Amino acid sequence: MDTLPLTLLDALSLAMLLFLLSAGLSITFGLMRVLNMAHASFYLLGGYIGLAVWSRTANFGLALLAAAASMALGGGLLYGVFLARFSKEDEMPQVLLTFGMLLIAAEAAMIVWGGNVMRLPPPALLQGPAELGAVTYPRYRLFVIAAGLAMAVALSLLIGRTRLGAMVRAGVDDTETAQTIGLNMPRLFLLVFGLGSLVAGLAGALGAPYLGVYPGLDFDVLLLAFAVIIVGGAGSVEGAFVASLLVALADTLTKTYVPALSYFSIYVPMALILAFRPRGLLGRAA
Amino acid sequence: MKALSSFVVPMIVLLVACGGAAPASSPPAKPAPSSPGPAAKTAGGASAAAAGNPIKLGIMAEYTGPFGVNGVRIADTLEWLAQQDGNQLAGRPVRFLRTEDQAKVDVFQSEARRLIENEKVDLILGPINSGIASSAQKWMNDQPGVFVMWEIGTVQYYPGDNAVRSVATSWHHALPSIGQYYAEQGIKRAVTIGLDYAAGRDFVNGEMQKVLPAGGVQVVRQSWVPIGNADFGPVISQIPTGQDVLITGALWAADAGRFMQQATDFGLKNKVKLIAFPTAFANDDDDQAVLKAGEGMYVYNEMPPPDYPNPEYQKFVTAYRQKFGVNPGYATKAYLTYLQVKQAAEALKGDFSDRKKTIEALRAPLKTPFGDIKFDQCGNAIRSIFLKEIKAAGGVAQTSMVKDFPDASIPCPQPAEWKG
Repeated sequence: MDTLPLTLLDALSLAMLLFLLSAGLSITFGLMRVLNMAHASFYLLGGYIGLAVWSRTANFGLALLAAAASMALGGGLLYGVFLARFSKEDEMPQVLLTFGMLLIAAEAAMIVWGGNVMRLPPPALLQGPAELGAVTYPRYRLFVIAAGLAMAVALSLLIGRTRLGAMVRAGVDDTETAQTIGLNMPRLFLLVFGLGSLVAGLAGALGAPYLGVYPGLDFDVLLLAFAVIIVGGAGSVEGAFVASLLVALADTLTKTYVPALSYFSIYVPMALILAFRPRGLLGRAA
Repeated sequence: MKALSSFVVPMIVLLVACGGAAPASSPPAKPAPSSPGPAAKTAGGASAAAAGNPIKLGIMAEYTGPFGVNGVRIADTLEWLAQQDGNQLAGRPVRFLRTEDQAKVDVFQSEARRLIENEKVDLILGPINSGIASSAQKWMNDQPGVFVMWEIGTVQYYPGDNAVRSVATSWHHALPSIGQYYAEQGIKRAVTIGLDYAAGRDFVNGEMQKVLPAGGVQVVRQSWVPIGNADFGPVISQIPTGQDVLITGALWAADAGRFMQQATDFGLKNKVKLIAFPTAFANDDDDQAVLKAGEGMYVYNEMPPPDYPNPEYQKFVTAYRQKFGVNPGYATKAYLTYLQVKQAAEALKGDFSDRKKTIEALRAPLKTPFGDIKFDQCGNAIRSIFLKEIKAAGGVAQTSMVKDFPDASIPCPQPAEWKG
């Protein structure tokens, strides 16, 4: 059996999770110049909260909604209460604060949910394999691919076709001028931060059925998110999408065909981009 | 450049933090709570025994991360068993001190020293990480304490004069008779999947060199995955299918659970003849969802199934279920360790002060409800390996006895090619 189609589907499902994880981080950094190290906590906590809601309601859709909504709220609080105090020049304090938040969130999750790997069961309709001609592939991963693509389209439309998106793009291009022409940047920042956290929380809940949720997951995905942003460029949803595909392909192909290289396969494109095109594939020039 | 520095600085911070934290397979763990001890200790040993001071047993394990659930099980089970005996061994009270080595050699060494020198423990039960045992082997041999290895599977480690190993190693499972069993089932091809570290490679090497050749089974693919690897999709998608195919290797704990679930999602279970993992794959005390996903799979290791036909063992199983709500699986290692320590305590009348006598007592033949265990000159166990099938009945999934392979052992002395 030709296994390349399976490998490509694996890469695509991973790419969609990476995209959902990193799209928000890319926008918040591109717009606000905030490097939110705690972004991965939204992924982790989104998974846990989705699991907690499912365990009480047995409703997968509600679990996803709860994960997204709670992380939107969490992101808004993180920005409104803490990060809004810093100016964009205060890079190191931002990094240290958000890194501290990452550690606090990890510890809190450990206390509440313990150290076991937990899994959010998908609905019956999405369980088991789907026969796609000569290829058999898990139904749930196909759902993740579809959900990721839908979110990519939605985010692209939001950024490219709405007033909010125009404001975000203006802010990414030139924050001072945008403020000068009357855009309410603090409110915009709050909305964008919340949106980025929402998407990350949703990613965590979407990944929970087959990757699980466990202590340390936040650190594992944080490096992947940075790899995507570095490759794709900050502030670009399209960049995050393309980079997610590239990083996922590099990771999946090496794990499948050259496992010895898989330990560092995602870091090679990162290093190349930093060396030759630091702004990323689709990032804006400084 | 600003964008570059904005990434480089936090990346450096992150990498420093991650380098100082536990490896990717384990979270940045905090030490598990250990019982508080008094600031000054009387000397252990004979005077401690005479004074009626408690027998202190240090449990060195991991309580978080991929292996965390098993560490907690062991510690909880040991304490529960001691409670059944009124928290007394050989007339002395017994006290357990839990500590965590975070899968790091330096932390293990400092914690072990603290247990020996500050807490004056009589025995250290652990460590559990094969990498630590291999790396710190010489250091352990030089310590005044006594180590009871209930979970070091790698054959790169052999006990020194101050240690005994009750667990079956990665090569205990390398039984040619299991390969012959595979051949009887019509298996001709095999795929191995192993965790990419010392014990994982040991188990797979044992399969490759002893088990599969004995059954004339050809290995058509080998896959290695890092500990804590979350996505087995790339591995599963490469496995050939057919009713003459066996999937085997070395996966356990949370990694095993994930593989089982994902293999079910890929529809792999019905497309191969047999999925059989040695080691602690799908323990009876695992999550029921994990066990149910593994229905029809075979496991073989030193842990007896819940239906092992021995009345005393059935009593233990019933009591364990009442206490913890699950069948004992991994916890049978704690049961064995407790029986071993109890027998030694009674032989020594509770006095562990003489290291040589302590080791002799710990290495004495042990009768357990699931078979007799002897120890060879190297301190390794000679014991049964159980082949089990995961079955579901009445909504409960558990392993069920298929075959018993007694007197599994490994060479003594340690072969040169195994030395780390």
